[in-house]
Amino acid sequence: MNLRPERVPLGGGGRVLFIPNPASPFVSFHGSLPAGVAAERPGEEGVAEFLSRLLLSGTETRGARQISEALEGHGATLEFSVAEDLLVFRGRTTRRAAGKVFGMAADCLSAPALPVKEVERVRAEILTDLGRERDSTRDRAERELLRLVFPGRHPYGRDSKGDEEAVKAIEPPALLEFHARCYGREGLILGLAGDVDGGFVTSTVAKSLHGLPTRTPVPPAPPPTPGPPSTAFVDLSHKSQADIAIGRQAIPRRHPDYYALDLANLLFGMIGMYGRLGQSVREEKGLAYYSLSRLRALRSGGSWSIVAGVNPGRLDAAMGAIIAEVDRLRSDPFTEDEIETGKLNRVGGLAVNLERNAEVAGALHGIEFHDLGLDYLERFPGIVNGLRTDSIRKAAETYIRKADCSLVVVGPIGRRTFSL
Amino acid sequence: MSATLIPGVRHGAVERKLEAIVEKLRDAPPTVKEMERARELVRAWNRYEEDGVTAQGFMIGQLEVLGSREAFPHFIDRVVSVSPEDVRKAAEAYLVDRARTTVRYLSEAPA
Repeated sequence: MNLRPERVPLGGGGRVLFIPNPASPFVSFHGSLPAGVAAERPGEEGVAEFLSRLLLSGTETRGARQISEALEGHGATLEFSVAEDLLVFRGRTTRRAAGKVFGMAADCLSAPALPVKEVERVRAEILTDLGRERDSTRDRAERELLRLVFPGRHPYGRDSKGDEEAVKAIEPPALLEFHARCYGREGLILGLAGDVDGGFVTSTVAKSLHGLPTRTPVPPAPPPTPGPPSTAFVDLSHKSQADIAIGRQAIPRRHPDYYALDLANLLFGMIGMYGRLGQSVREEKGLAYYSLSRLRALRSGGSWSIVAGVNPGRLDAAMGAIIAEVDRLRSDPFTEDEIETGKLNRVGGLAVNLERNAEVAGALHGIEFHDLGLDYLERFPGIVNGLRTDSIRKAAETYIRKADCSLVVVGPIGRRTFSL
Repeated sequence: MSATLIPGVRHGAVERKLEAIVEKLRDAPPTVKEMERARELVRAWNRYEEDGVTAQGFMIGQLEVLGSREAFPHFIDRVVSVSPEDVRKAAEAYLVDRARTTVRYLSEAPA
């Protein structure tokens, strides 16, 4: 399969990247607008997510049922979601129906009707989600950790849904104001894979998306300011499990240490039975139901974290075992064998991921969003295989350090406190 | 079948709605329009499920467990040949109250 995409500019600042797969009978797409949490102004918390959930609820010319039945009738899918930096739209369609599906996507994006009944349905849905997550030890721990790691209400530390107070106060004028400011062709990125070619992109896709208005560019999230490590402990006395979240600010996707840290994180808490962390804490010591580490590298910053679900009676032992693995990175750094396995996993993983159109479309979107270059997929094996052992070890020592980490524990913990 | 309830809605009310949908399926065959839409959906899903060797391997494996992998090329033909009455009979045979298990999740979190 050809791994070098072609780029087609859309008038008004948008770009389409595509890779044809002649063997495929359909088209997958993965697109975005810069209308995520980062685009919210003070007082707009939760608006990006709220609006995204209304996009399939009807437009000025189509009702929600019409949209749903039309998509279903074509065997197509279309969904919208909000992340820190972006509003994402993705789905799949046959080539024959693509004009109608992209036209519908453009209509949903450019002319949402915001019917009162649907606004209230979405409000109830988000409040239910917030309530459910507040009662989940894992969700609550991860949410609290992001709040501590990205202080000062930074977009990367906020819940995209906002808080209950904000959700209850959101009204259509605020949604329309956000829409008018952030939904346009400027900054639109679309990755396409499958039954596509240049003519199809120009005649069908670009034409459909041309209906989106042009807007003033939305600025990216400001680089987050690191805060001092801190702690939060939440007692949920009715729960039978406790969750630990440990983490810190890390690096943006374009940082020169990204690939070394990504590999270090893979070996520490992801590969196989969740790396060294899972092998020790869960497999050998039996102290956690799950334990893993995660690197999230976004446009303006990022985070690195460990999460673990444990028996509340064994919290101290689990915490000790987790910290022992962090400290071990200095006394017993990754071996050459571990690093070689990690490189094989990363390079092989890319090949496996790219067997499906949806993953290819997602990868193309990421390439354009992070400005990685049209030859990125071809260069990737060389980048990973070219990583030096000392740079991977150094990334682990630099970024995986307990002294820089905040700590959250949620569960039936009463008034107990913990430290790293 | 599953549903997440919005605050203030009782489980019983939603379950009765779901039961009514199943009952309707047991009592009367789907309309021609419903059948056509379902067939189009199955055709589309089948195309999507052929995306990638993993999905194809998984489907062949499933068919082998259920009978024979030889069914793979004919799978769509067999699904498309299902009649409205076949659907009603299947609902009557399998979507029955005595085979139903219902789980209601109620948060114990303080309000």
